[in-house]
Amino acid sequence: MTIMSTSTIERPSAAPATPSTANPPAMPGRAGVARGKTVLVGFDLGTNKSCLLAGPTGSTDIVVSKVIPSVIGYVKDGIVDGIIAGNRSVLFGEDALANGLHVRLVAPLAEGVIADRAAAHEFLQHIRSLADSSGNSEIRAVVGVPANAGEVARDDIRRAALGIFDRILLIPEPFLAALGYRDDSRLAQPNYIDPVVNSLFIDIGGGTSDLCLVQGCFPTRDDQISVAFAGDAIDELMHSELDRTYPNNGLSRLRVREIKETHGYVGPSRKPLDVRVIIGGKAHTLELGDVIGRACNVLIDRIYPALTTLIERADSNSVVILLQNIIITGGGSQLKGIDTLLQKRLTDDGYEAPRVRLAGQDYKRYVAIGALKAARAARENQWQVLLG
Amino acid sequence: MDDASLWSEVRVLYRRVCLLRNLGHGAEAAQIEPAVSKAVDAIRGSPEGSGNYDAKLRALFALEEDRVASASVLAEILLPMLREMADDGTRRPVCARLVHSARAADTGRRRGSVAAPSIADFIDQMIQQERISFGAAPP
Repeated sequence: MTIMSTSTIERPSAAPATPSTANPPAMPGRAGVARGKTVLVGFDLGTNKSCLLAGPTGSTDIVVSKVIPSVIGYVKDGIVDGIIAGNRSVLFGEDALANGLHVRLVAPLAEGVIADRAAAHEFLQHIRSLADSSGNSEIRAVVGVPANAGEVARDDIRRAALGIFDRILLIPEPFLAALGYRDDSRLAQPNYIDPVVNSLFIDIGGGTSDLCLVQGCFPTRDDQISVAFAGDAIDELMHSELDRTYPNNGLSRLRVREIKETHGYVGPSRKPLDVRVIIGGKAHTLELGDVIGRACNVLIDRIYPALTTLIERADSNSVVILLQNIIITGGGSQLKGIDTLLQKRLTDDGYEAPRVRLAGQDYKRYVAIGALKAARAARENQWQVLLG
Repeated sequence: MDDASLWSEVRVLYRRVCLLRNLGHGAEAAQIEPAVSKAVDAIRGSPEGSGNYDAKLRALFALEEDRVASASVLAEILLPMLREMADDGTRRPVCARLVHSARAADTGRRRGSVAAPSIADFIDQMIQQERISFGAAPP
């Protein structure tokens, strides 16, 4: 399929501006095949993990809810029949990781944007198959993109989605996180502080840390800052230091990530922090307090200036309430002490009674939840149709 | 004073009380409260009234509280934007925000809550921004 310039592969739907709450009439598919029902998808395409939520139009039901490692495994040549279930040649997510010995692992994304277009296309095909097992539904997907993602990054997603999603909307991830975090059932309560009205979201993912002011209108580019330092960069720092401290440790990047996810912290050194690892088939206990702390604290050094920049850009009349609503989500929110440390730094720097809190246990899903809400609320003429 | 004028007086006075409280001027609000009580007593003593005063008064007070809360939120959003418009003349984003804010405030009033923006309105703003940033063709 020839991919034309962006302006030719994407066009807004010409349908009238009506909410898509009702099941729209079936439309012809790309290959001229009549589509069946419509499935709405909220998708957080993450560097390390992606989250898929899907449901029908006209209801709030969520039929599919999955967190999937963003990785593809291409089965190596010479693997004998039966080793890979179903003798498949391509595996996705957990399946790919579980068969790491027999596959070549490829990450479709790096630093929040598509790094391997072919792999991204295959990954999205897999996502489609999870969202619509029948294969003949019309798929309308809202996909999260990093804050301030440029047109090239956006175009890469559209190209990867060509022939997979029928209609698409790309929306910045931290804004979707705010929508996802919002408790719609409490909006009518007078004491409920709607995060969409006045908050600052910090979404720390694998490839990027995205900060966004959400103040009752769609954030402008000045309201968002994307920092190219996040979970992967911490892993890299830890791995390098481990290699220096414990040469020939044989720890894979995946194992280093697991160590970070279990023991990661910010703030003052937490020693001793003993971690049991298997090196050369033998169990060893390594004291990793400093290694982990140093790497994780770099994240704070990188995102704190962005945080204060956004606070200073906020309107002076609303900044006091904003300071009460700084919310951390994404995998980075699981670093122990990150909320208290950021709050302390803001307090020490003289900001008025800041309150930094963690989004909570659904941190992996908020972007996708927000994306599905957006999919359900989008008007017909807001969807973009991808044309091959 | 006729019945309608009495109710109007209570409404105006109570709205003033709400505004002052909202602005943090509790002492000034307290100074007006006796006047509200006096106006309420006048309604209760009115020969034209149809009774059931308490329910009507509760509804009036709730409505005025809600109006002031909505107006306060709207003002908080609008004032900096108007200032921004005066400062740099960038009318487009301000206009988008004004439209949104008016809708949000209206929605909030109807829902009896603080402004609850519509997601579709957010998407409209996003598309508008993208057209300017990336030069996409209008629909």
